[in-house]
Amino acid sequence: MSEVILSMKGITKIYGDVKALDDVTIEIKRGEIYGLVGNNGAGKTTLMRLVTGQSFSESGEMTLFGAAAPEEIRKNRKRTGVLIEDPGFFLNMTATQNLEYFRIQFGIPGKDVVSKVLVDIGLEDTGKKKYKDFSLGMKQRLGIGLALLQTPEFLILDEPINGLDPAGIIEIRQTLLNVNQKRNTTILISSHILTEMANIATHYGFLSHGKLLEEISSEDLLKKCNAYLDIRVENTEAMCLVLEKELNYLYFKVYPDNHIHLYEGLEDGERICELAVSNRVGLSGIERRVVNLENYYMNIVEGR
Amino acid sequence: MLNYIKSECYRTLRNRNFKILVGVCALLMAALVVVLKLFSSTPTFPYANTRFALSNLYMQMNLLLAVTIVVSTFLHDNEEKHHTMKHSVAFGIPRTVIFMGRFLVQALVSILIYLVLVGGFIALSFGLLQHSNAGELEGVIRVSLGSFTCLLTGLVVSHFFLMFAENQSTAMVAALVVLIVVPSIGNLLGRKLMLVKSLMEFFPLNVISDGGPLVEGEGDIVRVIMKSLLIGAVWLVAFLVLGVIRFQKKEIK
Repeated sequence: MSEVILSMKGITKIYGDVKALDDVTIEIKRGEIYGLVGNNGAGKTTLMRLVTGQSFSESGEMTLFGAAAPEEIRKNRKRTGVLIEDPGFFLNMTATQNLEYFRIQFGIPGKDVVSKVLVDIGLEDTGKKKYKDFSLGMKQRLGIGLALLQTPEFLILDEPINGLDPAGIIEIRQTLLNVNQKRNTTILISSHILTEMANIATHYGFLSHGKLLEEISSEDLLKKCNAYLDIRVENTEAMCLVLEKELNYLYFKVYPDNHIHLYEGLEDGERICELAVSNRVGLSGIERRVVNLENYYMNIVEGR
Repeated sequence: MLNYIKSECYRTLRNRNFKILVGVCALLMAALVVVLKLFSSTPTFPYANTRFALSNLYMQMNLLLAVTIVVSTFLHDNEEKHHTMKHSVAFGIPRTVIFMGRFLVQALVSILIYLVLVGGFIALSFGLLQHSNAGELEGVIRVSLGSFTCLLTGLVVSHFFLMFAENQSTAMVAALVVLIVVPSIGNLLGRKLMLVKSLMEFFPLNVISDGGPLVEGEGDIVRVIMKSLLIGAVWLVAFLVLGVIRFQKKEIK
């Protein structure tokens, strides 16, 4: 059984009148790449800030590397690497100086550590360029470099590919997959770019308005990934009768706002349209779709 | 704690704005002596001597208290915009270490700068100006010793507000109010109310201002120095403890 790296039970965080996190429970095991999915304001960053100690919850329990006592959790944070929100460096210092500052502070031996990390993140040629003159992508890379500085066992990354160009996104993806596969590094990652998340995550947590709606592994998500016809009608009852009686289709689901997802007969779109029109069910659209992370998330959030 | 202090020293040595500040202060201090020297050839100019030069220093320590606010702000270096502290917290560095470590480095750097600048100022004064031998050097030493903890109080009060304020301006104003405005208003009220006057004696500004026993050199000097140090020490400890306690629960952005 894999070691539990992070466990959060019944975590609630309130800002003023707003519940940023509402009774959230998640568990991340060693070696997993846990993708946190949610809209802006869903609570992703808040959750990560609780893990890193930047913020405090109103209620709930948390363990990090098995430790529950606050002092032990604090000590275990040395085993993590973090990038949350904007990277946060000194504007008038270079990339080397910024990383060197933290290398000294974290007590990481070996001055060559910084130069190696800079090569890994593609910033070895920045020289005397000050951080304030970096592009957004360069700043983000430096933030990732800091997270990797002490070869952490657990990476916590909030929108790490924000601002990166396509080549940069691929590089970072490869770096994260490498550390996960070679060092069994556990990763908690959030991103708006769901297609990119789908490339690396092994597990997902779907957050909306502070609530964790669902947790699912990528394997289980794949099993749920199948194609379907999305049929939009005014009279769903009548359409269901058409599907059952006239077409013998039983594998379908009815959703709110007049959507029917039909999981068989995907090649019969034309016939379905003809029958829908002749039975006057008020057909407004029919579309072939595939369940992927994006629409799986949308279905969950919108209650479909 | 040691690693944290080392990293802060590393950062401070690369703080260009702070270096410029120190350079400007050094230039101004040197300029004072040079200007006095330039006018020394005028027969009726009575100020080209070490007594006047050094008294400008030890009789203006209240000005130096205000300067500590500026020094602390420069050393704090816009942390509320940089958001670098979150990395330290996320790595598990204790918040006490962060709060105390930053202050300790500010204190160490400030003491070093003070010794270098004042030492240089004294050397330049005695090198270029007429020696008065009127106890001015003893005055500098006495007031420097007695002001030690009060000047550190200026740093710690600024540090306290800078660690919690949303922006530097708010923090500087708050520090100014505590260190300068409150005792200044209190001094005015103290002319009418004896209780207020008694309370104001315990504000660092009044301990190190001219007119007080420390600067004037009145009475039992050792006792005066010890009392001045003690008043500053109480303020220092109070703000450090308050700051450490409050910092434990601060949301770090």
